[in-house]
Amino acid sequence: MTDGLNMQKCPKCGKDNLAHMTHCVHCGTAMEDLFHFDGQIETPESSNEEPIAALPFIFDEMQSTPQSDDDSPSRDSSAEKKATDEDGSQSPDWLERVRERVRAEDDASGLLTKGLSALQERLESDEKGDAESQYQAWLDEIREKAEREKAKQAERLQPSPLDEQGVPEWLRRIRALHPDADEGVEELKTEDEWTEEELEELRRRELGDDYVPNHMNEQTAEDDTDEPEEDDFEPDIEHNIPEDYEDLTTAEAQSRKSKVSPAPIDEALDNSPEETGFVMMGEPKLDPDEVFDTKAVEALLAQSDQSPPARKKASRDAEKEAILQDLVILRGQHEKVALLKALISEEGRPLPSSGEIKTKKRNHSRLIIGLAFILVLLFSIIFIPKNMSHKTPISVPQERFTLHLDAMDANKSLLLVMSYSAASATELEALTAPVIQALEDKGLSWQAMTLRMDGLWLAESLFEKADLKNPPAPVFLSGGQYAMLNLAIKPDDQTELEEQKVLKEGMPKFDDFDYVLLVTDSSLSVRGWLEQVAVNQPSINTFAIISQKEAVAIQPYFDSGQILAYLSGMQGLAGAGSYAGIHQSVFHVGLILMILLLILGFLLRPGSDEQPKPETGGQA
Amino acid sequence: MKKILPLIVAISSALFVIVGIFFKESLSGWLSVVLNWAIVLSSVALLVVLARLLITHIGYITSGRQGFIYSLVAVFAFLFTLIAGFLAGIDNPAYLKWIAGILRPLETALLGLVAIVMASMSIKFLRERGWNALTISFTISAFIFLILGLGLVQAIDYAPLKQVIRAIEGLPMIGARGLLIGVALGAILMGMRVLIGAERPYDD
Repeated sequence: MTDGLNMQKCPKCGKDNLAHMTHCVHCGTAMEDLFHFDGQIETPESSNEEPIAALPFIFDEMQSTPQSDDDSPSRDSSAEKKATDEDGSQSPDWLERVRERVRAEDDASGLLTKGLSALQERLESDEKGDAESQYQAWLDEIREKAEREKAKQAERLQPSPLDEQGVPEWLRRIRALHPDADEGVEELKTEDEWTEEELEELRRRELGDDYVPNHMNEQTAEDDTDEPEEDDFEPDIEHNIPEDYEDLTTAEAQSRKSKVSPAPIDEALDNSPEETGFVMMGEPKLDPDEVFDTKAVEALLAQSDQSPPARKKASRDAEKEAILQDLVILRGQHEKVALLKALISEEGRPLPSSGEIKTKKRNHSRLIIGLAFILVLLFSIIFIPKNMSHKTPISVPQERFTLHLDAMDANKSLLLVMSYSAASATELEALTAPVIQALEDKGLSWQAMTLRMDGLWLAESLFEKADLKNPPAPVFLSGGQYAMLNLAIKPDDQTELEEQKVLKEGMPKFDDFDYVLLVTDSSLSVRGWLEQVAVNQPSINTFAIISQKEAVAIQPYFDSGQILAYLSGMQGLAGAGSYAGIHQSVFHVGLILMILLLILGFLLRPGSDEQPKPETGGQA
Repeated sequence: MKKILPLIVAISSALFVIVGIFFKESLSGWLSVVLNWAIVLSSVALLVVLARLLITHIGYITSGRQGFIYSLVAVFAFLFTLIAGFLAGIDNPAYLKWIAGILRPLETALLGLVAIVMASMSIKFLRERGWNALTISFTISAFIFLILGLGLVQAIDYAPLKQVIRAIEGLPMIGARGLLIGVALGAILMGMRVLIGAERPYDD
């Protein structure tokens, strides 16, 4: 113990004593004349009355070995600071310099400065012969401590259940809250490696009566320890996130089943359960994303100059604040986890709005408008006489049709091709009947063919309207445009393929006709005829009678000469005495109603039912 | 094989029809056979559709689905027409008049409702879309052609006005020509795609 220290001999008994002893430990002889510090500046006599309270700390510091005291520099400085503060204002110059330097520095660098200051003190107080070895030892110690500080800071930035030294997260937090206890632990174990036995001992000491041996929950602990290994050190924060004090007690009970016990936190709370303030915490004022720091712990060191009760209270407050910060942080994380869980659980469920029963507001305005529309038309049909003289200009196709019909010879033949539905029958029959009558009057041969099945009975109606005595029976041509193309292609009559034609019996041949009159309500039929049949039968002249809504679609064929002439809608055969059976007055009434509706729709509450526009594109 | 065989049939049939049109004198007989096959197939397809429609409505009736009364009417009308056609013959004047007496008012009424529906939808269109370029142009164009349909403006004997009216009445013709050109180009393109197998309307 005394190796490496200066010794002095007692002037009375001659036995060895430590250099700084004021009395001989063997005979009790005063050795004050011999006692002095190397490098100590000789001061007046008043300064010899160095604070007595500081001496024990100095002695402790001097007696302690550097190898076994990791944090001795900081402790020395704090001890000296304490001693000086308690003593009063007088202190050595070198101590004042050290204090100023400590105040100037912060955090790890401050500790380093403290260590260096203590090192200088030690160097000043030690003998010159041992100075180099002790200096080297202190340097190593300080380096080691600085590296440890850096490692702890790195752990705070990247929280993980275990650090590289195997220290659990809760233990690191406890160490941060109890730096003195941490030092004590480190004193006990110079090698900073924790074994299970040491952890058990630490838990037993921290928990006291609440300690449950780990082997009691061995099975549970094994299950829990498997998960972190699989999750690659995923921080398990569920076990130490109490929502409130009740949850904390629940968590305490649950924590006994887990290997990573929150016992230190509980112990810290049990010291002053009412003062921990879980129920008084209120709204968290701290940033949930903020990581835990040791400023609160350092505040404890800064408050060490207070009186012991006040210091204790301040230490307790700082400890509580640190714990609260920790819990608030974890609570914020816990809230995020809860929110994430809720979002995941809600995934795939229908939106609340989609499940709501839409209370559709009944709007009878359109029903009223429709009924009014129908009523007006009905009254106009009933009360307005039909055969009123309406003179409309004769169109070019209409005029051409009349001219061609007048120019037809009696020895010519015409094929009447019908392809319209019953809905258009009224309009088309009114146009076609006068034409058939004119053909009959001329003595022209003609034949009817229908491309639709319902054309068979619609033809009967047409013939009746034309007032024909013995009309030719219409022929149904199944197959639509395929059949027309089949008819248009002239097969070789000499081949046997002619015998294989499916519908040859009674079927007209295009070669036998000079004209074709298409009666249809679809421009597609006209186009199909012109594109499939007429190109294969160039000798046949094509006429058409088409409904008004489709007339514009065949106008290009008329302009190109593919259709010689056509009739449609109101433009019936000139001189027929009627306009294709259309009630002109009712037609005009309908047009007026449509105009009024458009004006109403355009002016009355425009955009009242406006729907949000789609973001991209949208139907026009 | 499931995809290649229809492809081969489609391409070979299309090529044969095209070649038959170009070499009409020598291939017209064979082309007629192919067209007859198409007619028969289309007739069989119509029968299949009829059978499917009948089975579907019978299923609705047996399961008591909501609105099965309409299915009942459809099945009854189908069976009645079919049986009457078989018994009386499709050339029977009474039968034809009877069928026409049902069809004509029904279809004419449906066509007349189109005008009502179009008027209603035009109002809805204006109220939902509000005032924008589309609705305003639609309204103006409809309004102009409705006025022209009345024939009152044409009665005014004023040469410049007649020219304007003629120009306006020619606008639908421009649209029809553009439509026909587009249809022709689309048909050519579709035919080429079917020929090279890029378009398979017969596929699933």
